[in-house]
Amino acid sequence: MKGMHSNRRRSRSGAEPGMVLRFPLRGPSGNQTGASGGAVYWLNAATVDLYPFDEAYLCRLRARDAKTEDHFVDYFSNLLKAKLRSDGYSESPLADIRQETLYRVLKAVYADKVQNPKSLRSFVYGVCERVEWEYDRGEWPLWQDDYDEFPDLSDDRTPADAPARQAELHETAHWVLDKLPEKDRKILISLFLDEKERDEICVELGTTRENFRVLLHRALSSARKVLTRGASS
Amino acid sequence: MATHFMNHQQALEQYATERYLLREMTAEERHAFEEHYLECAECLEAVTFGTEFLEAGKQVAQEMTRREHSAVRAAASWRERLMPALSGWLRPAPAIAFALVLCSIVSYQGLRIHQLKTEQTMKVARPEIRSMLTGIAHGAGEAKLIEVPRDAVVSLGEEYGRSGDYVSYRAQVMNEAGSIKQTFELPDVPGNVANVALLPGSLGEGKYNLIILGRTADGTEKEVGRGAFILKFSK
Repeated sequence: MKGMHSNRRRSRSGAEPGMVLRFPLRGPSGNQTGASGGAVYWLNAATVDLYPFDEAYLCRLRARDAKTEDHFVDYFSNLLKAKLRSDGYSESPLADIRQETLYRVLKAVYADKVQNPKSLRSFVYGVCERVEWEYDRGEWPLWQDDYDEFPDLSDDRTPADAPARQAELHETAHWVLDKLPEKDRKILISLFLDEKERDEICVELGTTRENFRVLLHRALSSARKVLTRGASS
Repeated sequence: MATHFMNHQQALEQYATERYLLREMTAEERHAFEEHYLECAECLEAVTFGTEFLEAGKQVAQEMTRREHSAVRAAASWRERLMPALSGWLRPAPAIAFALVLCSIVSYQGLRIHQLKTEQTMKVARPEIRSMLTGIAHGAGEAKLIEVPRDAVVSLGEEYGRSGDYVSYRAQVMNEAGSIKQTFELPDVPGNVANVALLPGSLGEGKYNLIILGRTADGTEKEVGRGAFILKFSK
């Protein structure tokens, strides 16, 4: 994984980024019925939706409307986290790149350099890729730290409901792992921990790389079922 | 494998979400998938959900691994300490006395565990507050004030318009700033009332909209119901 061993990838913050989780609140064990005998539908794994960014949103962002800035930071923090994980960054560099990307995008918005709100997601990803490139070349010490004019993007942004969401997802992951056959559980744990080379896991546990994605697919499906299961069942 | 473009069908067939999460895509594939999921609600949600699930899974895996290691260490440690002592204790009189002491301890522990379980059950029992929202679309635009204890489960009901045009429905809780705070997939059951449950700690005090969206077969979503509420915690 990127950013784990190289000195030049040393983190500036050295901390886990403040996560804004969008997660369900009910564990696999509960089962309740709602008002008037109807089913109570438990939370889905709501994370990031296709928010319809429009000109009005962009105007509010340019005008530094605090609520819009909060929404922007929450929304893109989750997206960038997914992207940066997939690009192989560990926690500390991930936090730095995410932060620098958000600052640069906001700077461009404030300077009226973003014209098309529909392409905001793609624009953020483009900036992120540029920041990743600079980070990989060891240029992060050159990044400017004059962030005073920007909203708080510190690593300790934690919404009030985050602990409940984290606890719920934690419980679900536990439940999913417990339900798996021994061999599949070992494979999934190895993938989660990400401490060994994938080929090494294949040899040790007698599996194939193709099986990883199938197993992860099943685990994600199980988690979804657990999280969306209603009391009607 | 598509190198420059990926549509939804290809993404599904190629396990794109899983391969993306497992970092098993080439740079080109990753780029093509990113271009797709940035415009696809289903894949976008799948990727972000998967990311957070992997994170939670990592924590659980670490705990499980730690527990296994400490269990192995504890077993080894006890064997090392007990074996020399047992050679003396296995004589008849000390063995009987030891068995009696052991029985007492086991009985006491059983009783104590039962007591603790009961106490725990009492602690997590929470009040459930039920509230029906009036749809703004039906002429009443006022937000409903819901004042509840901080530890209460809030069950919200909201009427919405079902139609054959939609293959599925979901509910979203959105705050005043337009951020989606919760999303619920609604199961396909008869009736036109969506019920959702908010567990303690899931939302802070404030004004929220509960929006019901209908999804057509081609993935287009349209609002089919909306209600507003103000959440306030009673002292």
